[in-house]
Amino acid sequence: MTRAWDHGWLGPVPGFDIIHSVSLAAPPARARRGERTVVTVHDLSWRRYPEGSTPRGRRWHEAALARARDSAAALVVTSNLVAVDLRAQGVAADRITIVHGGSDHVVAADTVRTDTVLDQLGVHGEFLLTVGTLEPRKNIGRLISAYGLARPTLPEPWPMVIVGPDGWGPALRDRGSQAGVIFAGEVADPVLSGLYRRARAFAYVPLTEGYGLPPLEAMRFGTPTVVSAEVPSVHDLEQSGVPPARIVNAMSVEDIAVGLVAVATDDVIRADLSARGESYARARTWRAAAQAHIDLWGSLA
Amino acid sequence: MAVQQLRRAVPGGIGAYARGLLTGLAQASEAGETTDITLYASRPRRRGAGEEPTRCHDSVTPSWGRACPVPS
Repeated sequence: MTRAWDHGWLGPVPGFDIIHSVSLAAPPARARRGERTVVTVHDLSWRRYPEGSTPRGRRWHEAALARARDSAAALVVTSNLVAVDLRAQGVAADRITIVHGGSDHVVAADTVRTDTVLDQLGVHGEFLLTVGTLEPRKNIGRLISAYGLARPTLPEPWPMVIVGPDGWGPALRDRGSQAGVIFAGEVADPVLSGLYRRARAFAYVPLTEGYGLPPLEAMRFGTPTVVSAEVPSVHDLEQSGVPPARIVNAMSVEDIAVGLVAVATDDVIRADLSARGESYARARTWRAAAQAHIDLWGSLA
Repeated sequence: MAVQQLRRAVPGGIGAYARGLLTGLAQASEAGETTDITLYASRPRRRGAGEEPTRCHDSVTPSWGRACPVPS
């Protein structure tokens, strides 16, 4: 569908007051008929971290962003960070609406299936967890190195379970030979919920991120979480207050390792992050996000 | 709403965001916020491929495939 829109094989979508594309993959607009378009821009990661995208991906995103910037009546972003990036591209602030994502989309944990998956992975006790596509931007290679530093200092050699599909970039699965590193691949949503609930700690340390749903999902289950400073769902620009997760430097293996050990072993930190993280995540709801969209559409109609 | 990657099972991806937003819109509809939404997305690849994201959302009319219908 995206390719059809890009090449003009599919024309403008007729007959609607507002056409809202929830990503940069948007149908062409037909402004002269009074239709208004809204585009959600999740991130400008290809600019913040060019090495995290393929050349083809960067070209596509640049062209799609230009179309949205030039034709959309409004742009929805999920964080102040992305709003700042858009303003730097010349988008007027009054065309940008910030809408935070929720955490209440997570499904109930299936403990039986989760136990089965853990058993198949050879995990029979506590474990650390991360989630994300295996691609450079997610910084999983550096996280694995940090885990290698942290593991000898843990009370027990708790494994690091990595959930997510293969993406692109350096072959990370080769790192599966490192002690304690376990690639789980893709899992069903009820199993992912079970892993969030069962994990001793959750880590998410991307090099850049437009929002970051996975740490919100983990925190909703009360799991102590460590994130990089580039995760605005947890620690956005201009956001005041103590973050509900341990914040680390995504570029520093040592800092990530220290953060991992802290959230996995320090009972005071764990209790604090568990309580504040769950409260923080549960305050982010899709009902509120929907209302913000309805209000925006109403203002444009 | 045009939704790319509605069914793509990437943790924290656009599909997860879209499904969450649809859930919130359904809750808004139940609370009396009437917004008629046609969802424009790629059709399901095969039967039984997973939970249909729009099944429980009465306020959303799915529209799959090449042609997008003009509402009457």
